[in-house]
Amino acid sequence: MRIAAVGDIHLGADSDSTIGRPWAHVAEDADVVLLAGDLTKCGTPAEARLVIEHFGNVSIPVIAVLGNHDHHAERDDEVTHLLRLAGIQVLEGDAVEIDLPSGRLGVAGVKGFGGGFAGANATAFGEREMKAFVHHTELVAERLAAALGRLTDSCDVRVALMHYSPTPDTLCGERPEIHPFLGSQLLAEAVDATQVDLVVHGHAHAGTERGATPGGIPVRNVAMPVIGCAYRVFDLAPAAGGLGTNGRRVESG
Amino acid sequence: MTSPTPPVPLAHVLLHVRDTLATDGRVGELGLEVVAEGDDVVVRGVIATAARQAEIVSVVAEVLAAHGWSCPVRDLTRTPAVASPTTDPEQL
Repeated sequence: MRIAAVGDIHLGADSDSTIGRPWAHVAEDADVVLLAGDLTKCGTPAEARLVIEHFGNVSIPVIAVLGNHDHHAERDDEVTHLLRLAGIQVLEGDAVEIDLPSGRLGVAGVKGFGGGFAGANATAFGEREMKAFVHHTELVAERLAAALGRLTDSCDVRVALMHYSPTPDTLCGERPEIHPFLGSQLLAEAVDATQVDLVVHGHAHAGTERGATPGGIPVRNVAMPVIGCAYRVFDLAPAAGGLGTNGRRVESG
Repeated sequence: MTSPTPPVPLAHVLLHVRDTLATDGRVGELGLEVVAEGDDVVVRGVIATAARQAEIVSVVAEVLAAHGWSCPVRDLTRTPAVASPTTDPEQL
């Protein structure tokens, strides 16, 4: 199962008009496209229409989450609505299952949020603003866990799609001082509690492509500045009998 | 008679520069590094497009001027290469 993924394309009125050219042929490389957030520069409906110009005519399924840039204009509901009208599946605490030529793919998606990682994570203590920050992370992680839980056993491959990182591994290269604004270990905890074959995220432009959750699930940072190409393709081979790539699913019967 | 207002320390101004680079629609890039090096203000990081990159120096200069500073601005940002569609698939 070939999965094309990219994040942080930041489309705006001033974007290079050639940026979309590689997408015309993505169906030759992949069975599905995952967009890991920050599709737009500032999250305006006009920028959402640019995203649609680039991805609305892609002949394979396109699944996306929004990123922080897509929220900046505080019109994320409109952006989501427009993208969905164009056939792009936008996930926020949702899950989708798609039958592809190579098997059934399940994707659970959420924007994610900051909060930091073990040893330097934010705690809901003190001012209400600090509690609100941490509680938002907790809520987002709960949404991810719930979405993953809704994926059925019929999925051959399961992917968690998010904008923020679930691990400091893929933040390597970013200044450690800003790690709490780039991801949260609570996202990894949600992933590790279920059966996932791959985590895809963006957001960390100066980060590292490859990492893993504490539970060993592969994590890939597909922010365009990191991968240095229009998209990265992951080839996950569904195991016989519906086992995920990691083979950790326990079959009943 | 009042004495002239002392200039805002450059270290504080650089915080505002960084915020403006994120929120000003001409650039709109969150997370750029803005530091003072010698007499210069230097901007580093990755910015999505060449058009936005071209605005960095003028945006920085505007914020500096608004706080009473005038110093050379060096833009050392880079734009991501997106010409190639992809590389070989990663087998997982």
